[in-house]
Amino acid sequence: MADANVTSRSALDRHLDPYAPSFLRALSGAMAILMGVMLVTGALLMTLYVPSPQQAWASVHYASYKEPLGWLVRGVHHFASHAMLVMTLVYVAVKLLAGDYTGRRKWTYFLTLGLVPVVLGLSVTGHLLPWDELGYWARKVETNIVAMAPAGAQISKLIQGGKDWGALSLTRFYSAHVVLLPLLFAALLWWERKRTRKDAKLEGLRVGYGPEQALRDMLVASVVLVIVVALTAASHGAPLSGPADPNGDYPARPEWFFMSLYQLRHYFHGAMEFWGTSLAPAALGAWLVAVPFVAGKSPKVALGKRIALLAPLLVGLLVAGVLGRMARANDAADPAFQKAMAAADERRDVAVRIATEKGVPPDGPLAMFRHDVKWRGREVFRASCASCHTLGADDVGVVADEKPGDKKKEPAAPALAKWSTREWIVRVLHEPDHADLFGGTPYKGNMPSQDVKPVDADAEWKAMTKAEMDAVAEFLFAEGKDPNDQPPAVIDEAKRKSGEDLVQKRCTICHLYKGKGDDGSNELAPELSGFGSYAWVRAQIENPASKSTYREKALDEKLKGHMPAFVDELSREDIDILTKYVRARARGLDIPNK
Amino acid sequence: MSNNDPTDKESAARAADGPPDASRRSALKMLTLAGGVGLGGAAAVPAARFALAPLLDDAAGGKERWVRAIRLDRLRPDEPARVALVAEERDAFITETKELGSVWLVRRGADVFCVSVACPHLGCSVTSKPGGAFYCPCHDSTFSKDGKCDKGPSPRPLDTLATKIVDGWVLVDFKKFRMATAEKVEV
Repeated sequence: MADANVTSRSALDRHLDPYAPSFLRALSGAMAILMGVMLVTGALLMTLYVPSPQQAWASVHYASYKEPLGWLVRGVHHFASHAMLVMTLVYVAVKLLAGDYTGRRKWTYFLTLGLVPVVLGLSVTGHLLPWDELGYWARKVETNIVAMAPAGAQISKLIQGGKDWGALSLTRFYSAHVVLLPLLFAALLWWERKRTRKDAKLEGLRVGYGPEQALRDMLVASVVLVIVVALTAASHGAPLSGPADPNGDYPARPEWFFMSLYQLRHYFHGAMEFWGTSLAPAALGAWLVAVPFVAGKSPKVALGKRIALLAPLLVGLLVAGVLGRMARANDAADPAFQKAMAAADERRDVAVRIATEKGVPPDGPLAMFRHDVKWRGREVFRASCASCHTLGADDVGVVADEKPGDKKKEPAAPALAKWSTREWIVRVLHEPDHADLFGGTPYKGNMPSQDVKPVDADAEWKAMTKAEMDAVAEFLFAEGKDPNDQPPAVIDEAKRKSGEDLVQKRCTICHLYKGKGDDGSNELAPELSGFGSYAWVRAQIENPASKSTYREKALDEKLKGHMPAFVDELSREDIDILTKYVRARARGLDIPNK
Repeated sequence: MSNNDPTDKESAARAADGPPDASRRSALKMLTLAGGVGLGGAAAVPAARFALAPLLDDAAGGKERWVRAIRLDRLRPDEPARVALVAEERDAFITETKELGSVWLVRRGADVFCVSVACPHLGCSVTSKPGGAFYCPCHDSTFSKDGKCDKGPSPRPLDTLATKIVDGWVLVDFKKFRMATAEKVEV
């Protein structure tokens, strides 16, 4: 009987013969080898991974950027998991092509099918573990999709370990990823391979797992691993997006294997949404389960019929591929999405930079952002200052603080680009009421130009010369310098001194200098000693009417639109950071990193 | 078959009559099985209770939680501002001061209109569009400036939250709601 089968086989069938050494048959062996690779790399990653929202991202960052060869271990684990998913699908396709699902083999085939959800589950749980934007948001959205199913609210509670995403979601996914699913996968694969051999034995075929097949298994596994290592090397390890911010605005997208379902979601709304997007994959799964029953009782299925039975899987994968491409193309053509991704990439780069340079504080990577002068400074400036002040184009690159053509801010406080530099001081001496200076403020008209004769000038009025203005600028610029400034300020001492004399002669009529003014009658002009220094800027932010900068009158009702006091509104740390940020940005200094 | 040791009573009995041995073996099997099921069951009940704990956590929300958001005079009329609400919160085994969530605040006359940034569809954060409308970048739901869903898959309007003004500060009664349901159910 068996002999008759063998002699009647076509060339393709001989190639697909489960029991003769063959490359196509080497897939399950190669998967077993890859499983070994996953276990080893996984165990290595577990030596430093911490499953907590405060430390997961930090530990994965450490694995990727600090641990020697960590990028390789994590990269291989990541790309091999994708390879495993592809291999499992190909293995199912090969079984279908070989008609390897008749009679007793039907149950072996079901074991093969069972590998698909387990491999998918490993991928889905694994992607959450870095607790980065990509994994976090993809899983959060997917869990909410699950919640749409019948009894979904209960199921999603079980998945995320409570009513909301948090620490218990991560520990649950971790447990599933490192214990439950690997055990299930190993057991299924072992059972499947054992049963495959037993099937053959019972059918009277020659059974053996000889060196010829083992060599082929090893060769297939090697080819896959070469691709995996090449992908790892090309991207220098597995991707790591920025630390998950449950309160951020990351535009969530799933991984490639769910991209088609993401696209499908665009076509079904309301009550149709859940079924529209889950029926297609469910139907494909049901079809794969139904194949052995549809194929009939004959132990040998004709090649044409086998191809017909395989077709829905191939068509399904093809359609999924097309949908996935459509989703990517839509995103590529969507400027809002590109902008959001650029912002997310910038945030990731900042996180990687700080974590690499300084490490992550115990309260997690989000706290790391809160302590970073460059990041937090910009954030606070935008939230608290940018409604009146501008600060010039952003040095960080992607998102500018303001764009040309932005509507004029009202009330318009002085533009802070170059504020307190020599250039800025000379300009204030020349045209203090320019729109970029005090022209939009309640101070307009209070400071006279020093080199343009006012209409009501008396006989004694004398224009300030260019050299005098430069000297005043040198003096005031020096007032703001700090020994820690990078690059350090270089001061012409003689010039500074003559500037100081000039200021005491000409400016203290209205301005305070070291707490004193000539008559103080104006009561509006600010303190000039320490102008532009950390202390001056900080005092101005905390309370502009403290006399350290401006005087009591500065917060007078009549001066509506004057800068408010932020001392009760911003935390001490935010004020400190904002001071450093604004001062560095205005004076063209390197932004300090603490 | 043959047993020459007269002291081995069991063997003697087995040699004398075969069937009792079989019944003894099956009795032992049954006993082991019963013991196994008992042990397994005894272990399974607390294990299931442990693993299914999230299902039993149905502490209803409903409590008011006023969180200070921003100074009222920082809000420009009709211009939506995204504000993070910071307070102490417990997440399982960690208690920390953190951002509970964010809201869009719009000053309208004497009132402050407030919606949660979480899109009621699947929970992504909605962004603000010129003109005061809101937009979700995940599945393209678009909301009017009053939070009504104009376009896209969101099953309900943006979730509004109560606000009040105390000593010049805007306070928000922060809550979270179930996603993807037509009705607004607090979690």
